[in-house]
Amino acid sequence: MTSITLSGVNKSFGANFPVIRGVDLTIDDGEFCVFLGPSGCGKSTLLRMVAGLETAYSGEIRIGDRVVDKVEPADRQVAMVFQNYALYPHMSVYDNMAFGLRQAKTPKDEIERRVKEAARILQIEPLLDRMPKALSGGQRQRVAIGRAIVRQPKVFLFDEPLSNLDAALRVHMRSEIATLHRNFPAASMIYVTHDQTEAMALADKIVLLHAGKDMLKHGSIAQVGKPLDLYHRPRNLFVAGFLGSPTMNFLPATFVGQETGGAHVTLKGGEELVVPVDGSQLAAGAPVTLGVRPEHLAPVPVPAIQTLTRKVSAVEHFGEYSFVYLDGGTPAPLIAKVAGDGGVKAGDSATFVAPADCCHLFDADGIALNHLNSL
Amino acid sequence: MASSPVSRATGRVAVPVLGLIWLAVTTVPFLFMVMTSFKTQQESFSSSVWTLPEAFNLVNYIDVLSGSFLTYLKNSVMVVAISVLLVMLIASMAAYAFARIRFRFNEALFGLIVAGMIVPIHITLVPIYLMTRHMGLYDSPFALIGPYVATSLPISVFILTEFMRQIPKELEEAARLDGCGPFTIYFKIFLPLSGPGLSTVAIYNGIMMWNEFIFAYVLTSSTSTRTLPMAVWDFQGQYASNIPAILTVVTLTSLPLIVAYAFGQEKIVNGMMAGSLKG
Amino acid sequence: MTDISTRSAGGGAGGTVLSLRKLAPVIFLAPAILLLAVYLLYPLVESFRLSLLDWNGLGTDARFVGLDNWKKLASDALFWRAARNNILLAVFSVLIQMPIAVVLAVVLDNAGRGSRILKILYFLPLLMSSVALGVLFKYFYDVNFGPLNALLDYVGLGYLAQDWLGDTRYALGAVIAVVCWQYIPFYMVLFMAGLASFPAEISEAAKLDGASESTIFWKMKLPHLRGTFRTAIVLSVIGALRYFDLIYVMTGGGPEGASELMATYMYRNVFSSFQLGYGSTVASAMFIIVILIASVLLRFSKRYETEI
Repeated sequence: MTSITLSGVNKSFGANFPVIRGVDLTIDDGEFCVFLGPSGCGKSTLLRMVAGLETAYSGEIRIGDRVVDKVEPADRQVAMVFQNYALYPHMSVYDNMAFGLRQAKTPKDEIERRVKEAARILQIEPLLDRMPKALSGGQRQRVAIGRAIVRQPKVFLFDEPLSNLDAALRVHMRSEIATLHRNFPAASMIYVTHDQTEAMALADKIVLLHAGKDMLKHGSIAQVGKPLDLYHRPRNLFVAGFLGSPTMNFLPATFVGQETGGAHVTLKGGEELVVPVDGSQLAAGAPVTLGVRPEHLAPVPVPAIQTLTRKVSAVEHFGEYSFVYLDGGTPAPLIAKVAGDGGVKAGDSATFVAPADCCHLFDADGIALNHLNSL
Repeated sequence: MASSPVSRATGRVAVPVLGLIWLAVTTVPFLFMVMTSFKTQQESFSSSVWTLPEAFNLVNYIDVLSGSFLTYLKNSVMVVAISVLLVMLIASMAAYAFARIRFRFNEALFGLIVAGMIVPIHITLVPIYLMTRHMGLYDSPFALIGPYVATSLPISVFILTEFMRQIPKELEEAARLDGCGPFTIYFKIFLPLSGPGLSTVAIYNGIMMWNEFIFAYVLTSSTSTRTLPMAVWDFQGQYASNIPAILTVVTLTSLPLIVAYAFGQEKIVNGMMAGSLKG
Repeated sequence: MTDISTRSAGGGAGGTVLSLRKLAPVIFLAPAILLLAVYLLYPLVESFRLSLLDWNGLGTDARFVGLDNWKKLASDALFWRAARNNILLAVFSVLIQMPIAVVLAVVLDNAGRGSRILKILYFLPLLMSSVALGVLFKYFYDVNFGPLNALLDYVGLGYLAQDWLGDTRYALGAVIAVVCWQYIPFYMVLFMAGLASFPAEISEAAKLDGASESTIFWKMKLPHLRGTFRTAIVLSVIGALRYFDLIYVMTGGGPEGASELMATYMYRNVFSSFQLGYGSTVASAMFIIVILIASVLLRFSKRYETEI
């Protein structure tokens, strides 16, 4: 049993600065769970609480069926990979990996077996006698992972492990971490990152944490789910706006009424759209926000139902696709991501269809209205 | 202006000239010291101070070294070695607590200890003298260890705390996950990683203690218990007007540090600067 | 970090580990605090207590005399003369050492290859113990056999020869000269570090703007050294107020108190006249004066820092 359960976990620095707010969460056996969120949202703090490096103000953390709140970090059967690797600079690679085992009084030959095995998995056998100073960033990262592997933990914790690497190496190490997860199917993994690409690529489950000016939500969970659930069915404006690049377009709209196909809304520009969500709780005339991702806006030749017609303010070409910037988005310009060069230029008037299934509707509190069709 | 040919030329001349003038100012007293130490007492009275010694005369050195000089040296080595080791240990322990453990009064206590740096040691002299007599340590080289270690602590704690604050927090957390308690973290992580800070502390305090005069003067009184700086003082009384012999003692007492300096000038200069600057 | 302990007073198997963790700061700090209490704090307090006694330090006939010693001190011309000498030492230390040290730093900054070896040689006096230096210079200044007078004689300035340490007019100056001789290299190294931190791009930019070397020095490098000057002055003043060894060895404070400092005066009272009580009064007064001047200086230099 290596599931991890957090119930009602709170933490604050000082009296008035909550960093973690009422977190309830279960991470299943062998699951790869990513804590995602903008900087300062408390995701690292949450991870460190699981590690035992920070104490919760209230709530309970279980690893397996054991409450670990009073258990020393070393006794929680967790291993952690730090952002800046945290290799002991005065010890060789071998000693770095063996240090924890020696502390635990593991027999010498057992230590050697485990270190050699981890070094083999990570292909760092030739480096065992080197000092950390003499290693490249990617090699240090491997050693840091190796130090975690030899402890045979039930839970691997990763604190932004790739953020100090350059872009190319980052992609490579990302796939290695995925491989690692496959090699240790029984261990659960918690991985903290602010990079949504990493999260989407690695996670079985994403925990997206709130951050920002809204102190009532800061440090609370915005949404938990599979990566594609968060992408296709964001539960609120924060999640919708955080995932995806460029970010989702938001358009102020007015609720007209609920129809069989969904909620009927009018945009400021006069366009009428039907979004397949349940708006039955809303009063006619209620202000809502329509959300549609740039990649879902498709160009059409003439205005029709579900279309927007706007003036093009700029076009950015990337070869494979283009960003078309349209007037009339609030607050940021409206963006459409279209294949090829898009066939429009600045100053043109262009029409895009917003496919009903790809539209999201958020009420005045920023909460998404439930879709009528499930994924 | 300075880029005009004339002033550039003056610059080219002035720089080495000024440099050499100060070199002369620095070395003349040393020359006098070394030169005289090779003269006989007779010679020092009869010839001018600035004439070279008649021969490379080692009689003074033999005389001094066959006396009690080596006892002073031995006492100095012992007192300084023990004191420096104690300072490194005690100061680094305190520094670790200040740098890394959160506890009430951490900052207040740190401030108080650091403030100890400006206390003139002279105010402690009489009470320490009385206390030493009381403890029965008077006229023992061990009497010096307490005052030496204590007066070195404020600066050393300060230097080491600053140093340890720069050791990444993650190393400590990694060690905690590896099963280390505070004591193991201190011994196995922080102590080995504080090498440069410890060497600064050792160099600066070592030199200060090696040259220390007033405690040695007040707390010890016999030849067999005194340290090197007191050798100069005692020989001065003993040899009265034998200037060459006295200057031989001065040369010999200065020699150990000069030899050490020959091996690690940069380290010693930096250690002295760091120590005094923080102090 | 002791976080873990905050929530878990006592509690099961972890209890002992946690209480050890809680005790950790105490254990780490105990030796340092103990030593400082015994050898710094207690003597400090004890010194003030002794200052209220009339005692020769030997017998048990210590007599409590209240503030008598302090009253005596207030009107003790010898003490105030010693204090004045400390101030003179401080003032002249700064006035002589700083300019020479800056000049030498600039010289070495421009000396290229030779600068390293010169710096190493210049630094030598700082490794000497003050007793060794004191004895060396006592003979250096000697009226009959001293090389200084011989040197003056040799260059035709024989009429300037003096009994440097034996003459009340020259004793303090002669001693200050030795202090400067020893410490100028220290401040030189300090200023060299300050000059080295002057960004090369700025002088390059200034040269492109047509500034001469001397303009760059006076208008840019010297102002850049402002912080270094402040540090140097604080160090040298505080050092001068606590000075003892060298002067004690060279003159013992004489002749006739001409080079007496607070510390030598204290020493004489305690260990020559066996006036332990009064000597402690002098020590305590010295402590107060040093702390006062040091805190004024430090505050002033801090305020100055924040203004810039």
